[in-house]
Amino acid sequence: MVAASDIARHGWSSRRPPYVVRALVKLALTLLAISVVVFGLTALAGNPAHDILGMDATQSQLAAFTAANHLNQPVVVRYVHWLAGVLHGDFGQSYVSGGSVWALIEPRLGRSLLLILFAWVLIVVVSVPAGLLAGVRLRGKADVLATLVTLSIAAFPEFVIGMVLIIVFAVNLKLLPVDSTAVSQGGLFDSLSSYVLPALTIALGSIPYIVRLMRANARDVASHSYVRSAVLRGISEPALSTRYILPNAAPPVVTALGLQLAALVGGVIVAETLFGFPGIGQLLVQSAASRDAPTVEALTMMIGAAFVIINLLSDALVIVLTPKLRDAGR
Amino acid sequence: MTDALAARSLSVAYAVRKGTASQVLLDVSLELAPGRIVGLAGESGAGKSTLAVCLMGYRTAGQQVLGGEVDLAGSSITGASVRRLRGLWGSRLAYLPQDTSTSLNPALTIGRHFAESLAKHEHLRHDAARRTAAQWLARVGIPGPGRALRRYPHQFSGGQQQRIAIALALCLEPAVLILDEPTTGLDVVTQAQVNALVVGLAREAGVAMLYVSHNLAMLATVCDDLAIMYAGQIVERGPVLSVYAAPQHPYTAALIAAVPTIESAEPPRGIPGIPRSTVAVGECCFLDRCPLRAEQCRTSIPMRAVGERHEARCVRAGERPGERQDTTTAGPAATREAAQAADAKPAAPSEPLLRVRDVSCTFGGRGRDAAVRAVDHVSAEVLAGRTLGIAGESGSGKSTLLKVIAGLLRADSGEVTIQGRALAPSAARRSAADRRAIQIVFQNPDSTLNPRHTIAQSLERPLRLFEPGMSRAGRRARITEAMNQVRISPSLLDRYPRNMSGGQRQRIAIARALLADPVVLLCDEVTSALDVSVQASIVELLLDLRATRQLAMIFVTHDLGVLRSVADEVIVMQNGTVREQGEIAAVLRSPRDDYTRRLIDAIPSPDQGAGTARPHDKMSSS
Amino acid sequence: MSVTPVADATPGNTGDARGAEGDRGAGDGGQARRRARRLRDFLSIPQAMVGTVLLALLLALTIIGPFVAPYPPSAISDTPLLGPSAKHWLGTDTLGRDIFSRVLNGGGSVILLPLLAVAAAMIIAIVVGLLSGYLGGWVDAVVTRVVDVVLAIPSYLLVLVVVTAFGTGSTIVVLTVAVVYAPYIIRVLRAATLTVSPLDFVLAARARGEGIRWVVFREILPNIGPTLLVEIALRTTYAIMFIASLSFLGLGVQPPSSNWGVMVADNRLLLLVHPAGVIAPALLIGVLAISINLIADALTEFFGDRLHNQLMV
Repeated sequence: MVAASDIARHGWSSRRPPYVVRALVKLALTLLAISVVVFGLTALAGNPAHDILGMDATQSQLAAFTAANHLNQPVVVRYVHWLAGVLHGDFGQSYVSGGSVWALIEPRLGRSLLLILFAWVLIVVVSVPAGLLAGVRLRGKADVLATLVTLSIAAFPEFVIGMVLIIVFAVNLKLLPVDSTAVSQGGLFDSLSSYVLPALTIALGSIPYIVRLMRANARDVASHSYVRSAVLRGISEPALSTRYILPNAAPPVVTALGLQLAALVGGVIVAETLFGFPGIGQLLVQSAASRDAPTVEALTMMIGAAFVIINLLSDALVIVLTPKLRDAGR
Repeated sequence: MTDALAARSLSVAYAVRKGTASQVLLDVSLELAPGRIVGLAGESGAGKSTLAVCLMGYRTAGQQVLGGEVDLAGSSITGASVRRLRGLWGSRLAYLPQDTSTSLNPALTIGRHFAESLAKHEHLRHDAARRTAAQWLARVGIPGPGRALRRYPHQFSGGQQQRIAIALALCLEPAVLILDEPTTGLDVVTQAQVNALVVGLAREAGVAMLYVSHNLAMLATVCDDLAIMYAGQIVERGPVLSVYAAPQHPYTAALIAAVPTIESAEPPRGIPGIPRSTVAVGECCFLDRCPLRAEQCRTSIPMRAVGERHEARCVRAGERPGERQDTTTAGPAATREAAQAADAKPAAPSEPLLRVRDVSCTFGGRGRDAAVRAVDHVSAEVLAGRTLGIAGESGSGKSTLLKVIAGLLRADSGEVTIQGRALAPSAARRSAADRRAIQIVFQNPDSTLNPRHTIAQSLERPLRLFEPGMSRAGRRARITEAMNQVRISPSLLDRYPRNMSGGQRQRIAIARALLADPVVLLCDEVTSALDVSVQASIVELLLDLRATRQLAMIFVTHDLGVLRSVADEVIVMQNGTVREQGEIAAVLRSPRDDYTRRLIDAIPSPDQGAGTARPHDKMSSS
Repeated sequence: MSVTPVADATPGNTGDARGAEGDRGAGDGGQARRRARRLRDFLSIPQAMVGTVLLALLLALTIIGPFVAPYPPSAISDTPLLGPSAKHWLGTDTLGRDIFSRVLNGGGSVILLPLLAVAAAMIIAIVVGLLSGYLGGWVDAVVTRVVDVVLAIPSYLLVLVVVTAFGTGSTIVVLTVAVVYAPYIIRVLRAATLTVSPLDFVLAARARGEGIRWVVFREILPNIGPTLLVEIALRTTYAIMFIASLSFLGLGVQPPSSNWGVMVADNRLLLLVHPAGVIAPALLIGVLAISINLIADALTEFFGDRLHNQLMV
């Protein structure tokens, strides 16, 4: 991952290839490394025929399975094959269903993306202002209380939060559906109410962290000399928060939001399982449990790639936001 | 003529916790008149910055005004509402903070900074604001003002940032400007330029200014009136020439004596004891350190007039001005003898003890970074028992050179020899004898000792490394002796560095170095991070130790005044090269190199009096 | 280059004692007394007290629980899906087993596995991180690359890949979590080491010719202790939640062994009828995580000034 500090050190110079090219190269290399790790791990385990077909599979069944999935070929060959396929969009065949992996993934993709989008919006819209406010305004008892609340939410694993939400909103208040199985029927936007609780569950997993980070940063920036200088120049409160504190406190938060995506993946997996949401998270768990390597590999590559790309974008955003990094090296 | 800003008997305290309050200012009175600069001098802990901020009416959390008030053109601002203050700040009352690099918002362009201030108060918008801003930038000597408005703070040098901050503070034409250590962190030449600018602006615009600084000598060349602060009180104030030439308070006199000058080899004199950080109520604040102390000093001391607008807070103020000078500046006899001995200069031995031959050291060069030549073909020699001074500004390569000699950095070319033996580039590869022979003391007293080791543990390390056969009792005896030599009570051996003052930590670092029994002591800006009086006592200590142990030293510093009293020979470095070298008195008296001359010229000489900070310098951006 | 002078006044010497952090005590036998006093100071922070008490209670529950459970945890002792009653305090689960007994037995792996994982991660990280930060050069570069790759893969994905390949089980979970979390600790260590390495006392040690082992373990490590401690406490919190979640997903311990996380998954149906049986294990997991979180927070506050100002960097 290209770190902002790399940019600061080397700058956007014409001597080296431009930032964009270097970032893309690093992206490609990282993805390649991930693919090696992922494929390598599964290959390390040997032939899964036994685990998939069960203890009482016959020799011929095992042989057929092995042949059908090319498991008798050397690892490197299989890797190259697989990689070539991936680059064409062909993710191979599932060990379990025998059919194309993509066919398993495709219908679920849109639903999960929508779910993540909801969660994401919730996170940003709640955390940033709350953190800013907490850092700049709250003092004393109010601050302690707020910290305790965020701490408590953060301490519960997502599935616990999800269950509390179900109990409150679905069972008691009967406002929202108990699970999200309705999502599998109809079009993408047909059962939006089924998205609410899962999205909320996922968001609550990340919000406390971002709020705390934003608060700490805002506090830190607020005590900086240039903020006090601005106060002593007569600059008023709202201007201070938006023009002085936010732009300088934001960059680490942007980076954190990007990294938080990793936690989001976990959140999606857990929330989909808890709510029975028919998305790729649920597929991932089911495939892992049934030892279906090709599906797991495909999903891992896709999600991993998305993660790396998004972090790249957030690094770029940090540079755009920070004038100092924009022309470091001049 | 009414004062633009006046503090009358101001006393301020901070609530620490649970009802206890700690007083930081006591009975402070100060007047700022239009067009005149009042200098506020003092060491750290004196309360200068606290006073500066209080004069703005700014209240930090827990602050209580115990008595007195602050008047702006006759009307009180103590306890004024935040709304009223915000209206005053920037437009009538301006403040220039200490740290140049963080007085400007890194996320805003210079133009936006100005637009914000101007729009707020004078309702100047867009083009009008831009023009005003550009005019001010030109006035403070920023080249290409129009373009500069579109740039960000980090794109300017430290000196330029400070000029911009000054322009920003003055663009609304306030009646009062308070500058809190505005040139700290800038190199000597830039300091002089910025000071000249400040003086010029005060005269032209008729702004009343308060200039806070710990650098007494520099302050004396800038201000019209001088006030000395100690332990939260003003102990003396008056016209600068009067105060500087004939100080009436023992602390003022001692402080002046502690300032190193290039005129004489007489070493600066330290003040015994430790600077007080708490306010003294009911007795003289300087009581525990004053050589003139008496029973009558054990009461609250009021200011006593001693001349035209000159007053001092001492019961002996006004007595025999000339004679008091000598009695208050009693330094250890040994130091003066040592200084005289140094002046007497024995014949220099023929073979150099330490020799640096054609050393070069380069940083960077990876990818885009242009390689920086930190040290460029430098040669130097140190003779046994003599001190070599290395002078230069930051970036000159002097510290790098020292680290190469110590074996902490690898030179690209050249070699260092000691007693004729070549030294391995890395300390780890040197023999024990070589490692012992060269010892180094660093600049920052806060990081020179491991915070997690007791003093005893830190001091024992050299002994354990170099004299493995010594018994525990033997080591203890040796480190006890070392503590005594650096004049710190051995009872502090089992304490941690965080409980000790900066000056004490630096002495301990020196003791640690000397325990290895070196022949050459490397000192890397060892006094630069300390208060003036503490600096002076460290210099005294080093001179003492040098005399008793026949130690050779390499003393690196940017302060030529200190070198005058410490060094025998000097080399002046700039950008990695040696610009000049020779015997110290000769170099300082008649420098041959242009750069050396500029350095010497930039040193403030207070004897010439106020406002001698020259405004004529080509307003070159530094 | 003039630097703003540092205040020369010292609390310890002016007699009006206010000595920093209670280390004024003389050295002789004071080590143990100092430690005890530091522990008391730490516990005086409210979060520390609450967190420690909660943790102690949960540990007690886990250790004593199995001995006081009214029924054997895997025995089918009644009809399934009964609500709470005098006979079964939390009711019975889908197979008819007493939930209360299962709860008393279910803490072990939820507490133990994360601790093992973090301990393993710590060992890996200390060795790799310290050396990498101090030695710099190509060692540092290689380590950074490897760490970057591992961090580029979200933890859940890595675990899922491993589980797909090797199956589930306690050992696999512990090892994978250790490998996944080590990079975070390495990064913190590396950053801290990089901050401390250029400090003057380290330079002084190098100039004396001290060996790598001394410099790294006796000069640097003691100064990054607080940072390390806080990070480890944080990692433990995450590990607890991670392993509980994995157990919930069915990817943790293998049946028939069970823990609170597995119980939550198994008893999900109860949510609609008798939620007590699901809430209990879920709540316990939460309380466990909160207790460690509070301790981590307290540590941050305790070392607060030390983390930022101790070295006055």
